[in-house]
Amino acid sequence: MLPTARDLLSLSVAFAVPFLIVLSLMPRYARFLAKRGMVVEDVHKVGAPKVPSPAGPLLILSLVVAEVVEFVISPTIIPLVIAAVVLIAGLVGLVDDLFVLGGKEKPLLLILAGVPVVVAELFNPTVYSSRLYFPIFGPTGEHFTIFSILILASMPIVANAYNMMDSFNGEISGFTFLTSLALILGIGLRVFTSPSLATVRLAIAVPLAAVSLAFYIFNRYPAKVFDGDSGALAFGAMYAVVAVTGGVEFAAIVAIVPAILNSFYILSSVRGFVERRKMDARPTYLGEDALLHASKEPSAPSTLVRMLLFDGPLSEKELVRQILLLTAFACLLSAVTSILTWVI
Amino acid sequence: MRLAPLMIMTSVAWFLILVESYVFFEFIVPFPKIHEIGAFTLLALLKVGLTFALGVAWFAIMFLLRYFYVRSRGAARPPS
Repeated sequence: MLPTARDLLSLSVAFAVPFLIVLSLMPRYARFLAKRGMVVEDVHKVGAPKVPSPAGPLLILSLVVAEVVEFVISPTIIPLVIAAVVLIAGLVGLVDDLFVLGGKEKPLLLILAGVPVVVAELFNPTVYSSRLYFPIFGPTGEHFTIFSILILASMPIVANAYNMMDSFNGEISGFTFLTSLALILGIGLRVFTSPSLATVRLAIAVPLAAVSLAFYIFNRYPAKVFDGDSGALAFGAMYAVVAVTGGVEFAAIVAIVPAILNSFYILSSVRGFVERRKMDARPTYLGEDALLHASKEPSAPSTLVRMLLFDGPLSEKELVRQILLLTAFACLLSAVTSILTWVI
Repeated sequence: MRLAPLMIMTSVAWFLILVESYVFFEFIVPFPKIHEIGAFTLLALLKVGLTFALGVAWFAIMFLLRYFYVRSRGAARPPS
């Protein structure tokens, strides 16, 4: 099925509105944060320059506005559900930015972000389908209870996985942009091969790509602004809920495998949910050569970055390029998964 | 190439997620409900055990891959 003119309008608006909001307001917002003294040290650079943070509230605002506009264009409940999830996860992140939540409180609070999705499905059973679509094998049966529990569990898992990919200039924005493209491809293939599905399920995913792309301009090396936990958690929660409403959970998981592995290796090496500021040792350190080195401390968490640096030190810019290349590879596997699921 | 081993680990994780999810939804979920009693009790317990085993298998394989990766780089040793 080819997209209609109305579909193209909906998709264009879904991209343009949040993209322009971030592009036009971010410089002013960063100056506002700096004036108020809301800055953090960029510890991976010589001299640890101060960078405005958190930009999360502006990113959340642009995502929510885009979803509300989408609701006006295509009046279904789904964009409002997405907006609610982004708001709750973003709020948890903002509390963490301002007051610092414990390693266990944050995941527990993030479960709340999944509640609007399950509640909306109970009252309006069109929000998601309680079945997984497998490549080649097709869909499983309906399992509402198991699926709903998985949705609630996925919020803290995915949002925290995104948060753990937020350590270097341009890492979270680039990672979110690439993975959202994989998501859009998966939902696009599904929507345009299943005539019964409305394009709104695709349009609701587009703001994530638009916002992360616009944010990348300010967040890439050398970063002019950081997103904070509010931005990273909102990105992660939105990714999870869009994957569920789009019915492309499988491809979505595959695209973020580097983040899942990163989280798993960190949690297993520090033995549980430990707030990063309370970890005994950092995974990397800035050498006198201004390059990032892998920590040799046995108690340092085993992050993906530390593993990459075992082969030798790298500049921050090159390190992020390597991480994004690995993410692009995972997105390629995700694209293969989507094609095997919806086309073949 | 620095990324090659991590790409292999990503591919293995992908393959395991694919296979294990299929096994879970197609073979384990249709087992009797876990509150069934009598002759179905053993099957119900098996259902929980198999689900747990799938998760453990994924974690164990990914953990082993990391172990071999780190060991091959000689970076797991503490500083002397």
